[in-house]
Amino acid sequence: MADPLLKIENLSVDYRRHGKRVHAVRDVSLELNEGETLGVVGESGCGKSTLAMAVLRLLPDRDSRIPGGKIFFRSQDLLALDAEPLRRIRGGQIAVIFQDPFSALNPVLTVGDQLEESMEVHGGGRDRAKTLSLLERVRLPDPERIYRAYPHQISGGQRQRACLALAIANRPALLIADEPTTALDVTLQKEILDLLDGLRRDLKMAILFITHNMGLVSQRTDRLAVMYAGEIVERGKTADVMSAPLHPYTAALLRSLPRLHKSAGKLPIIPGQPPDLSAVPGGCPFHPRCPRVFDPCAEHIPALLPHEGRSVSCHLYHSPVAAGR
Amino acid sequence: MWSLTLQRFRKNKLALAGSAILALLVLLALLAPVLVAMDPLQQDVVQRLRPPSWSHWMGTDDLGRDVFSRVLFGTRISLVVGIVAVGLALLIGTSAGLVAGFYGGWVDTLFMRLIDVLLCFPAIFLILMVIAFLEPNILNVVVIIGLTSWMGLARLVRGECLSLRERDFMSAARALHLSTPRLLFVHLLPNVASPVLVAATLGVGGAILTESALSFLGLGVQPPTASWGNILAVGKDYIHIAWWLSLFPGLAILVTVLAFNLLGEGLRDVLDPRMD
Amino acid sequence: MTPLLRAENLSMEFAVTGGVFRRRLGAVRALHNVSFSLNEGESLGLVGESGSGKSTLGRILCRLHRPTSGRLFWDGRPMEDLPPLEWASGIQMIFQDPAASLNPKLSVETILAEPLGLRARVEKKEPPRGAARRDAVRELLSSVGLPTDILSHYPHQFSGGQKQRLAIARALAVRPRVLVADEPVSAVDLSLQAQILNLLSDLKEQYRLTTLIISHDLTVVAHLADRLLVLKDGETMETGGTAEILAETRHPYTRALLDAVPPLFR
Repeated sequence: MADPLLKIENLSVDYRRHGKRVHAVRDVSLELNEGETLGVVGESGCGKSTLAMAVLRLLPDRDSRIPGGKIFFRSQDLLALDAEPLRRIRGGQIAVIFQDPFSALNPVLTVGDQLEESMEVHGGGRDRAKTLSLLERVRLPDPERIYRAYPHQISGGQRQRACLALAIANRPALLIADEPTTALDVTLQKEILDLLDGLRRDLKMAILFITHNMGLVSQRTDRLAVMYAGEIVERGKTADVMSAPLHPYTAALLRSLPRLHKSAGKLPIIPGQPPDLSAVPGGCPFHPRCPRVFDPCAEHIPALLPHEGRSVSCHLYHSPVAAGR
Repeated sequence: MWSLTLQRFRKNKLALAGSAILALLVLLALLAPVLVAMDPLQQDVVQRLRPPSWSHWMGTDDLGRDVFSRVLFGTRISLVVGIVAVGLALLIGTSAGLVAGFYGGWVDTLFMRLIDVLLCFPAIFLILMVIAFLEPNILNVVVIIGLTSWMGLARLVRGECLSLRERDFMSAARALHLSTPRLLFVHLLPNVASPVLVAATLGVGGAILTESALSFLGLGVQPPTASWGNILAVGKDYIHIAWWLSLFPGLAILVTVLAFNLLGEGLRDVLDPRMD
Repeated sequence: MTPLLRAENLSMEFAVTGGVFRRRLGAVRALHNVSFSLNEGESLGLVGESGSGKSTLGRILCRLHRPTSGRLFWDGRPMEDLPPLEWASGIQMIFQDPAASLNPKLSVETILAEPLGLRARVEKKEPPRGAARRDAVRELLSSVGLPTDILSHYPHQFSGGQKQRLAIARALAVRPRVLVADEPVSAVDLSLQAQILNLLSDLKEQYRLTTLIISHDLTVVAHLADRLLVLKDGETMETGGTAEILAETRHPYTRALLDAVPPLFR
């Protein structure tokens, strides 16, 4: 079996906020193969965006720190790379689209300009025809007009498509999509995500899909990783995790979200609230809220270990001795 | 909430430096009568224009008065004028800004165009003209400086109010049918306090400089009362033979304005820390 | 039975001004000829995407905007005839972003004492002071499931879910008959959404509230509302009972909204 395209090993990321140290990502391990879509799903503040930024080393130097771990992209450790080779990979082999297309685009350059600039930096030339065909590829109506337009002159949905064009301009092997449709209306979401699926197939691109939307992740990803308080609590094939979640957090979360056709009545809740990442409780981070908490949970952090074809980080499935931490 | 602010204040070097110097100045100003060995008004013509010595730390002026005592008493004038004038500007400016920013519409337009017009007059000329008609004394100086420096604060407050007005906590307050004074003073004002406080602190330095300029021109504090400005005025005539008459009051102005600026900059960091 | 709240052909236009003397350049149409009626005890869901006008409608009901045209009736009487105090104590709102809807410079006690004062004025009593006021605030806090020792805390010290509870407490302090909830769980953590939704259901039963739930999320509205009003670009697309609309959608826009709901949540 081929090596995974992206392999994150025991990554931890800290950053400083208001004088406190926030452990945003704690000992996270993930793998992503060529051409597949891996979803990283979790609530706001669980560290998923920090994880995405860490892969591209886009975290602010001064306030953030990577105390441990490796990020292998095509067997090269990105964390050990120098600035120049890293710059070539970013926007070239690994591309990103963010939640807010407005702040991701340079307001003083036209869309066409920004696309051509990216292509130029990564070795291609400034090719107008190629740029226009890119704009067509992301289903932008009237590509000529968009080419000449400034970001504020086009709509939100069009901006996100332009960002997508920018991202795929250099045929990346990996696309990191951080909440790409959260700021868009639901009807637009479907279009953009369908587009993304199509592009993935055509370009044989892998996608790291970061979102808090369980529904989207259930439809659009092959495999997924559930994050809570900076840790991966469950990982596996999307279909498996969604139909039979192993980790109590995943199970409780899925049960608690409202459905269209459920009968009116009380929703099963998860008591308490997500922890402050600068003061995560000892042991398993979910234990204060877990309906199935028992003795080892408060003391020992469970390791992410295989179980029934997936990986889950919970003492219910592995004895604390096996956790070895 | 205040304890968090206090904590940040203690850690901020600028704010600490500024407030330390200011504390010293205030102490000197308060204890002036005790600290001086000589009466600042005492003339001694035999001792006129003496350079600094052990008996006169900062030398004597053209009438034999001890410069150190005069500079020390001048501290009182500068601090009082600076703080009270800015206090007046704060009062007028904040009220104008709150009303303009809260009501918007033609009220806002009226105030802003008025401020635009007032800002067209060079403050110094305005002040000179007014003082020329009125009697030059401390009260008039304070009032006129206050009346010519409220515009910047008003604009600042108005800008903040215009953006705060649309926030949901203001909508929630309006939905409770709270009275307008309550909306302005309990809800809006505390939220504009931080940037205004910073601007005001930085403005004290300017007020002190203006007072010194006025006294230097003979239109501010009148001798025999000591003000750094009027000591400088004497100094300019004797600059070649009595450098101490210009140096010491000049240094005093420098240190005081610097202290307020440091404090203001420090406050800005403390009250509005940059988010990551 | 007279509906508690009735809207007739509400339209709202926002003027766009510019230039030195603020001339009117044009207008943005937020709502156009929207009508609905709400009986006491019912819950109506306002569904739509951005630009649909749903938030504007909620704000008009709380008297934060005056509609450009159209009429509103409260218990059969025109809203214009209603004294502002009665209006404010009759309808209250919780806003989309709980962090923005709580004044960061006011303590929990002050924030909750204000609506208590309003209620006292409406009931022609003296507003509570001192210990009585603190007790009243504590009672309010426990009614929404918040701890009672937080009177001197400030909003930034709380999580999103707790802030939303505070906002709910503030709205309910005046004992309104109608509660408008604008995107009540959009800004709340996923694992806390069920808590807030359950709280809203409980409070609705406990205080016999009539509610207007505004959301772009059909699952939220389907859970909380008996009837739906679907808005697009300020106009009504479809209206009817929730169950009926979900079973048999007539309007293509509603169909599109339903199709966009992931299968997981159907």
